[in-house]
Amino acid sequence: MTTKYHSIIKMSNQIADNIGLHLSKEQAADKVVNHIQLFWAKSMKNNLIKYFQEDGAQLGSITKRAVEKLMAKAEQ
Amino acid sequence: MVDFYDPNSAGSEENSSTALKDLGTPLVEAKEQVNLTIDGRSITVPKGTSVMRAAALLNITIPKLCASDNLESFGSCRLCAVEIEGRRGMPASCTTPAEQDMQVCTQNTKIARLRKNIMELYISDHPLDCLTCPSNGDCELQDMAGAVGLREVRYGFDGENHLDAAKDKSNPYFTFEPSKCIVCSRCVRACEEVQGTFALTVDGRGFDSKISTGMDNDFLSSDCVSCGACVQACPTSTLMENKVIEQGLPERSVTTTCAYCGVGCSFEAQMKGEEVIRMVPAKDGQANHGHSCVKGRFAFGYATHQDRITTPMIRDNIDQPWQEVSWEEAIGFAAKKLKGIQAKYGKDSIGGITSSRCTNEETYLVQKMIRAAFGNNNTDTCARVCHSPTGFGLKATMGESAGTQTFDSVMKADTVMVIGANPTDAHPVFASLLKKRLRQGANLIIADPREIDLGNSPHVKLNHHLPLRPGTNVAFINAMAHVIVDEGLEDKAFIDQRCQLEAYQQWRTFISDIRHAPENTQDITGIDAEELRQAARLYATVNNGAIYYGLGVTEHSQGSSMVMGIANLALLTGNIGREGVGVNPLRGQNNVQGSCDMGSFPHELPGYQHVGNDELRTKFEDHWQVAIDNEPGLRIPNMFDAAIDGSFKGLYCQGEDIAQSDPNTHHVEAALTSLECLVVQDIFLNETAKFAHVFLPGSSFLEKDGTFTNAERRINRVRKVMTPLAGKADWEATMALSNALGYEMNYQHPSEIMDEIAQLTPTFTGVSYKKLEQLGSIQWPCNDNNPIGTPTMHMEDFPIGKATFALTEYVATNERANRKFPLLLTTGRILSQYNVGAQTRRTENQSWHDQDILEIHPHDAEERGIEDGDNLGISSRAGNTVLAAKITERMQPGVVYTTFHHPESGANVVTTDNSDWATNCPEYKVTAVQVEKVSAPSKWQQRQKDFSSQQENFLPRKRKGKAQFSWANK
Repeated sequence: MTTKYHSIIKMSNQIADNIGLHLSKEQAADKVVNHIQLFWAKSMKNNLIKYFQEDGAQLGSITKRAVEKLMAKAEQ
Repeated sequence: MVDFYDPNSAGSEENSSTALKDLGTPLVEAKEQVNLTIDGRSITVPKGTSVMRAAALLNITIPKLCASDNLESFGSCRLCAVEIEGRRGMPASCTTPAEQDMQVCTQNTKIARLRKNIMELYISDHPLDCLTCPSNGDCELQDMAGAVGLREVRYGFDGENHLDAAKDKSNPYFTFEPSKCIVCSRCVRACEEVQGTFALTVDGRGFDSKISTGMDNDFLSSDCVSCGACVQACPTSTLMENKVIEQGLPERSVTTTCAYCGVGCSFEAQMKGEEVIRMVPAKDGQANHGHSCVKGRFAFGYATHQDRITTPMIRDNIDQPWQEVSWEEAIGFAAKKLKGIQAKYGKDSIGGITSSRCTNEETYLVQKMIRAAFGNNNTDTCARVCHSPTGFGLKATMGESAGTQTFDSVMKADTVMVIGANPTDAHPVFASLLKKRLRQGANLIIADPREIDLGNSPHVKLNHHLPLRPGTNVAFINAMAHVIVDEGLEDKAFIDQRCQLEAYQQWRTFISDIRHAPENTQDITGIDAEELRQAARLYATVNNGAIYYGLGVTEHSQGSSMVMGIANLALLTGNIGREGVGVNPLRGQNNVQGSCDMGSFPHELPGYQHVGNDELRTKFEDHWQVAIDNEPGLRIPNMFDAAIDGSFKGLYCQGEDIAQSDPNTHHVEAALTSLECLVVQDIFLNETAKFAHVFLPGSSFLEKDGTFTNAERRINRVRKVMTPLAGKADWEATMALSNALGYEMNYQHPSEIMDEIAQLTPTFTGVSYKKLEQLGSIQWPCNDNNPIGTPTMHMEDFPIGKATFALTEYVATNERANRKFPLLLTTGRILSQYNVGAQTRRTENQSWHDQDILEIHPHDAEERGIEDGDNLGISSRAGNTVLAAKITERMQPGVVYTTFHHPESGANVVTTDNSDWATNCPEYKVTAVQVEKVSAPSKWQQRQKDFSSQQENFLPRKRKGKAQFSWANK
């Protein structure tokens, strides 16, 4: 499972590491969500959500929060 | 080279007739004007203009041999002597500045006798084989002999002469025949002033003077970079293109734009029928002003190389030979397969890659086809792997995804900082202009792990070389900004007027922190703190500081952050919004800027209009009469992941060789082999095509009409000079595929495509082929606000109003040297080869660089017992390959370097899947490797060799009588 999601995990954590600087966890997560919505394809977003639902262990805390927000938006 | 005497235009006073004429000496810009009279006619010129040039502007042609208006006057031939009222003797008009109320006489008996005597001396030591000379009809010496009325040479021809001087044919493109030389030294001066290489000199004095490339060498073994400026400057046949020697003079000329790098030089394609004899840089080319490099000028032969594939081919799987078929059948086959894949795997299971080599119109059509006919946004372009961080970073800080200046702007810079770029190799014509400015005294700072040739250029003083360790860019730029803020060198007025104050304050607090001080980043970057401080001051305290950067900035895991850091620095010091300053990304390919502008990205429609923006998207939907997906599609690296994952099965790849140029070759190959339908549209069977099921033969830049956009945002015309070898231009092929897929496209000419682009793209509304004919070229934005285009951006405001500052914390890349892989590999380019080499490897440029080599510092070499020429195994966590060694001190210990021009090098087998956080631009510039002596090629190299061989054998046996023109079989 980790091989399939390896890319998604790496990319999403990397975004969080770079974009969420000097912000609160909520703000950082918002920025990550915003970036993913602007630049990621549907399938990538879905894969990230799937991974989070199945396991999510390798996601950083900001990333996890961001995925939660993504899921909330998806349901709207 | 010379203008032909045309009786029809002689005597005309119109300015246009002087536009391309050689006016003798360079343009002088001055506020003060002077008025003088020449042969009874009056003219006003800027003070400092030579009499020769003033006369030429009046269409009075004063005979000349050593003068040329792209070179400073020299005054050696004396042919241009004139008489000036009130002055003694007969001064040379080229070295005499025009003065107020001067009265000049250019023709009288006395002057005529002098000129005849001068010509007589020249001809006394010159072969008299005009009729069989390659210059016959295009020789300034002939013209001058005719103009001065030379009828006899009273010295006779029995004396000492140079008629036996040996030819130098070492350079594959031109011949040096010294017996024809008149030692006017135009070649020497062209090499100095125009190119800046200083490879030539005049050896000896008086009668013994001869042009020399240095002691004991010839053109090929000298410093000569084969730019051809000397060949162009030579008034006789001494330096002459081999093609003209072999085939004679061209009969017609078509102006077009080079298809190599992002300088986008304008050329006159000089033809005989449908064959290009020579490419002569266009004097009125706004990007290149009559100069070029070895590739654009000489390496165009690939377009008619025997490897050109000119018939469509299909096959069911890649273990089978290719089958030649008609266009209709190939297109039908591709369309059916692609539709079938979508039916089976879903709409998003196919995608396409647009080409940064093809025209704007062609790229526009490919992304339109993908969005309208495929029905998704899975479109991307090679900018992904080079300047996508530029797009992201500059849009975020300044509101526009492009460089801010013209190339000419460098002539007003006081300090030039070059970061992660190698302009003498990758943007040679721009580098020549830059060197000219540096020789005038501008300061130079280079931030690069290696020593690059720019810093070693003759008469150029390198003020600071900052040899940072690969991967530490952001720490470096933060330190620079810290120094400027810490020492109070920022441009407060500019920041107040033009920048968002809250963002600035936040950033200022961030950057002032002591952790960014050069003393504290020294250990990270490897840059001496004091040297960095001095460099920062040198950039911040001059009037005009300009930053030029390349892939050494973008191809990193923090590429986007670094671009934003550079923008921060420029904004901080007020170096935006006028000439001589700016943030200048050196875009690599001839049309990579254009391809980005045309909406090749998965998240942006043409003009960088986001697909998620309903208002902008519906504008396209209304025009295209189709619904467009409102979410971003897959980027190239994501396509590979999805392919391996099983959800992405079809790809239309136009003019892009991902199998050679993308990182982590094992991964790319795995992705390509899992596709059910790979359609490659290209001019050769490149590495990617070896994995393809459909091959659509492409067209080179000589075979189509269209436009390219260079690194200056300059839109330039590409003009068809020969019939497409495959019968269709690339845009016609894309149209055919779109129609077969059910989305109708019906353009008759690329100008119609540009008209459509203009309707839908706010930055392009004023662009049309008609306007391009009038203006020559247009720099976008071109619209109602900027009717003739925008040379310098952000002069009054930014597209986002006020610019913002981005917080760019340094985050070390994952890719770190460790015990297993203790060295860092970085990659780059060389002058004679171009990117994956598909074009240049099929020309005589192979003479300069026929294999990629690994450059290594003596210290690292010694540790491993490596000597020059040894075969080295380079291994990383991604893979390994073998290259020959070159030991050089321009590397720093701990860093090795190679190029990627040859597929068998496998440079990308070694590069990893690390990429920029914002754009997935691959981190080519940092790979942890180990290097050791080996005795055999790597397994991958062996496999690649076998696979290539097998795929080449799958090509249909043909060649005899197939090619349209006999010369194409050379």
